[in-house]
Amino acid sequence: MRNYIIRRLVAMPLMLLVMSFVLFLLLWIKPGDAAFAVVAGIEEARNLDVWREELGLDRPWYVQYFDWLGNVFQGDLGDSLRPPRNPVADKVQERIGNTIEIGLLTIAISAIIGLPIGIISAIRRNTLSDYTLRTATIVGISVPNFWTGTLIIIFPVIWWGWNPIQPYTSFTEDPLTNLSIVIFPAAILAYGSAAYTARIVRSSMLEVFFSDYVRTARAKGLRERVVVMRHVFRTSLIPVLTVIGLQLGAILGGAVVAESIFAIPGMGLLMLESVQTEDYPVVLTVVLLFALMFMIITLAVDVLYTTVDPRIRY
Amino acid sequence: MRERENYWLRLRGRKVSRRGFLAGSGVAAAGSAAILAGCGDDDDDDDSAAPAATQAAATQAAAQEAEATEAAAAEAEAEATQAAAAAAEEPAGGPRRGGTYRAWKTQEDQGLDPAIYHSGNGEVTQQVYNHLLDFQVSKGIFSLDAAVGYEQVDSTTLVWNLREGMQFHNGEPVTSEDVAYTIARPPVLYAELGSTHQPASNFRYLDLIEAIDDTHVQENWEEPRADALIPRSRQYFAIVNKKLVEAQDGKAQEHVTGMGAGPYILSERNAEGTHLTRNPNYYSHPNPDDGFVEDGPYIDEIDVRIIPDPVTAKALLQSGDLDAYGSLDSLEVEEFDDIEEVSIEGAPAGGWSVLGFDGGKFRDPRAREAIRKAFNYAAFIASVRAGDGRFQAPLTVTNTRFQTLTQEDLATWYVYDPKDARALWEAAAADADTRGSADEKYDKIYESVEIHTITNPTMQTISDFAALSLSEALGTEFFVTSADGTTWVNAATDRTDDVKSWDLLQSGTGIGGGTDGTPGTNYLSWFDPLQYALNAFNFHYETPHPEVLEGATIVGDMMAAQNVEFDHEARVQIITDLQRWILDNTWSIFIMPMAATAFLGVSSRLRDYGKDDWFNSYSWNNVHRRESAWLDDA
Repeated sequence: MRNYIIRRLVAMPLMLLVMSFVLFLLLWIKPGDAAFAVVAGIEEARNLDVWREELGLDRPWYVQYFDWLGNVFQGDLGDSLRPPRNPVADKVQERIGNTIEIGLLTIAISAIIGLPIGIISAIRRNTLSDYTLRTATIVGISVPNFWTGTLIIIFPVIWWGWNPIQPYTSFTEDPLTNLSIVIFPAAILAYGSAAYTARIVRSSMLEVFFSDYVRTARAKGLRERVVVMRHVFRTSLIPVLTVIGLQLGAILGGAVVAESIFAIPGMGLLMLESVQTEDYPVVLTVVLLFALMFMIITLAVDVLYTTVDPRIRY
Repeated sequence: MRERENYWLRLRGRKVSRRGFLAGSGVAAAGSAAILAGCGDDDDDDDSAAPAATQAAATQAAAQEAEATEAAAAEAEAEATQAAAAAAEEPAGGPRRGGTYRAWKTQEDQGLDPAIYHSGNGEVTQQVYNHLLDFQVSKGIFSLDAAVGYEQVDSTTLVWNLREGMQFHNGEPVTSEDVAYTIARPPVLYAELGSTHQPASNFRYLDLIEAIDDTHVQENWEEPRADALIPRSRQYFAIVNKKLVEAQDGKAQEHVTGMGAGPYILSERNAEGTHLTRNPNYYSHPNPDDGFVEDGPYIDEIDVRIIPDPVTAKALLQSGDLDAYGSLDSLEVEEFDDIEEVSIEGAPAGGWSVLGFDGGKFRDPRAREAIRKAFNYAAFIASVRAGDGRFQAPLTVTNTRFQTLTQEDLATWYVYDPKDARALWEAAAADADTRGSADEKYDKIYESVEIHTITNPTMQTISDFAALSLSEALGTEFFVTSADGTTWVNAATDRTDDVKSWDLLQSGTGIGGGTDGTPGTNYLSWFDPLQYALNAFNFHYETPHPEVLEGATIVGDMMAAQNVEFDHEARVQIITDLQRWILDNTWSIFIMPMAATAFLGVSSRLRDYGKDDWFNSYSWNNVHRRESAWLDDA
């Protein structure tokens, strides 16, 4: 197990390195550069050369890439290309907490809603409650979160003249106000995520329900609750864990939309703005941070497998 | 944004009043008693817990009542004092002082130096800095701000008489040296880094700018410039503190309190937006001109939040959490029908929507005229403009100071005549055929025409309509491609070849937007062979096509002539002649009908905010510099 974790940890920087290279190439191939975004108009295109020199964009792509990489190895993420050219680390530091908070809250809500729905749906398969819950999960999977988010803003305004958007307040400033702000984007992201979880829980549990050892457990006279929670649910958790881990990627992607709709200054919004302005030091940093978070979560999920199913060994 | 304070520190440092302590104790006692009672043996007959709870509740109620009575008395007293003070200094029903004006923008600014950057920083360049003048575009008048007068001594000399007693936000006096430095700075910066908005030709004429005494600044120009005054009211010439800006190598990117002397101080700027606080040492405007008040501004704070999604911003306006949304289209207006908090104002729309020609390919005037005649104006106005459209002129029709062409005049050029259009197009195509493959890259438009636009619903709708109308009339395929804004700009300005990658460049929605009133930079710049016609449309002096060069020379000469003509009537005549020539020759761009009315969504509490100029260049980020604005519930 320890060797496995060490191998995975060693592989992470290599994967990030390859990703950074590919990402940089893609950004470089894309027409235009940050100088255009800075100039932000179609006047005096000739001055772009001056701006390119100012921003260091006149250098060959590999020089720019290895220059950036060298600085990263020394702990310097560089400066944003957008004036006033603040350090990327400052921008990330200012926003990463907000996105992590939304992500964690989303996973928590998703699990709290998705797991019971999946269990109930499996236990009461082919009943009215199962059909109702399955319909709700299909809606959750089908409806895009940006649409749900927009409705959550628009309908309360129409009905009650109220909307859930407030000036952003960080958790350290005022936890209650902060939670009242982030709960909405988290709930929207969690709705889709919970729907997936519920469906996976249901199908995994149904697979296990008719297995021999479950029949044996019942034959021993165990109460149905014990059979379900100890023998069925625990065994069916492996695919559920996998799905929850994978959903983190979707949640991070969804943060771009949720943060935009709810005007929350997070990493998703930073990435959106940076992509639009071709601010490659920021784009690279944000994408690689997202990738790193994703890798850590998948590693954690893999480790959790051994706890859930002792038969699994690395 | 509110004052930032750490919650935990606030909690730790919170003082507890005697009444608060009593009330709290009461609640605690009542709660404890209730819990004790609840946890006790159900069969226990001892009822002592009940009197304890009752007593605690009574204590709490008494404390609360005492607190409420005292608070109400204090509140009433404070209100009475406030009302008396307000009554003493404000006329009934008149402007009120105070309050926070809440605006929004979609993203962070891209820098704060007023002379270099412009994207997303309008609230700072217009409110944190002041200007010599303020130009009211809709009225065509100048209002004096930092200047109390000016004199055009001769065609190349302008002298400013400055207001006395102005201070920067750090208390330092605004001197004539600062003003001279302010005017001289943009050309220097332009030479170093390039401007983001104003082309070089708008700065090049400046020669020597000097403070001739404590209150006078003299501008000496290399050539006459009739357009000089209006730009002095724009952000490029926002008055800066020479000492602080020189400390940053002549740039004002890192904003330091004291760089500006405007009505508001920049108190906060972060990923959530910007916050401005009224400058307590702001100078007075005795006998104020339009837009100013003697002791303005009335509003205490301006909060500009970053809201990336316009739908969210609209919802915030509807719920009374924003004071201005900005431009709404006619369909959106219905959404506000029953909302008392919102006031919808119609104002003359500026802006435009055009199809820019690639002069490398559209060098034949018959091809350009064919486009003009193949466009179905009535159908466009009925569908895309929902019946509320009007013709746009080369110089915007909203520029009342310089525009003489009426809608009736414009209707003589904008005539839908598909038969004539087809004949012109086919004649041009036939000539292209005779030229053969040598000119192939210049003549590809007769096989198919690419309309390139930005990925934006309104612009794509406009482009789709144009493609359909032109395809039907001319019998050639017109198709639409779109890209994000940056890529679009890249394609528009790419000059690596003498033809563009696109054939027609669609630009603008024709809803909202406006003019800053300067003919040389607004709208006419799209035809100027030194401005957009050079950078975007290949109608310039370096063209390989003699017919384009001939036209560029005519336009360039007329642009230069209006620039040096100080007699207003004579200048207007040149501009009118220039517009007629542009329309006759469908030069550089084809202008489609614009929306007739632009709708502005503002909160009902906002008063005297300068509606008529809202859609002109003053209201970036929905913050319009008008010191007479006030909030009804302040």
